[in-house]
Amino acid sequence: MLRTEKIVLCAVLTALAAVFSYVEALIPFSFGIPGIKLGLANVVIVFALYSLGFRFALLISCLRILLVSALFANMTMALYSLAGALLSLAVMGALQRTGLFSTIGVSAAGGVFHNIGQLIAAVLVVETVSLLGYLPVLIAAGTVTGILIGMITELAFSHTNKTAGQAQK
Amino acid sequence: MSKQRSRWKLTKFDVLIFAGIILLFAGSLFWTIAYFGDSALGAYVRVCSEDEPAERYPLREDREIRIQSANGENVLRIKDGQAFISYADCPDQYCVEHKPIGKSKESIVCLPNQLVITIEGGEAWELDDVAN
Repeated sequence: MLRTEKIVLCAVLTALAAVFSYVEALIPFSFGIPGIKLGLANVVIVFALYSLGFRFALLISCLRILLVSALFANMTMALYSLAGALLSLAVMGALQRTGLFSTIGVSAAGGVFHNIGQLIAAVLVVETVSLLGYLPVLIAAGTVTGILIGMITELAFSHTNKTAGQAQK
Repeated sequence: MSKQRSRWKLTKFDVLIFAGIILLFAGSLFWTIAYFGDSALGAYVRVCSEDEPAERYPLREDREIRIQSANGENVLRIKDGQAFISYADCPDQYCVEHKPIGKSKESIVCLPNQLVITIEGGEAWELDDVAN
């Protein structure tokens, strides 16, 4: 991919991630447990990780959090989001680099570590260790949402492959 | 995108990821149970009297406990998840008049009979209960 193409795709994906965050704030895809959501914007991050590489995924993730928290939330929320996103991306980047795992597996690990990162940030902010009691629930939820995100990303890949094929004809 | 290889199917290495997740889940669950053990199993009433070692009774079972010591006699009753003193032979009767307790760290004290009853574990003690 050309550098210009990468930059354009990066910009489009950042916008898409921000929109996904906003849509999710409007219509929460909740599972009936407080504090747990699907995290649609992570579809974009996983997609970027596979199509543009780790650095661009990191850039999109940070830009998205900056945008969304400046527009719709506050800086404390940005701190939690950042902690989750960075840990999750670090784990996903490492797993993806080995080339051994499927998108769904990588995304599941990402979902789990996203929640772990957020909880660690919360424990540090509130200075209450007992918050870790929420960890089993968050790990289970992170697995489920991670698998769903992985599946959606895979669907997105198969569609972009199709359209890319048509464009070349 | 450039890569045509499908990652849609799970690979055999994905087992490792899910095994790791299960391990993390089990570990955190184990920690939670160890850390919250008492409160997870429900609250207890701790009875501290002068000449006997402290005893604990679960708050979820209704029962009546006779506490006899050299100083006198009290009767502790546990009913509907709350504990109160139903009878005391002490002169001031403050412990009998005390409202039933049921939240963590609440206590009833009977000074003449040197008796302290405390709730351990369970629902947190809230300041608002004192304020009103």
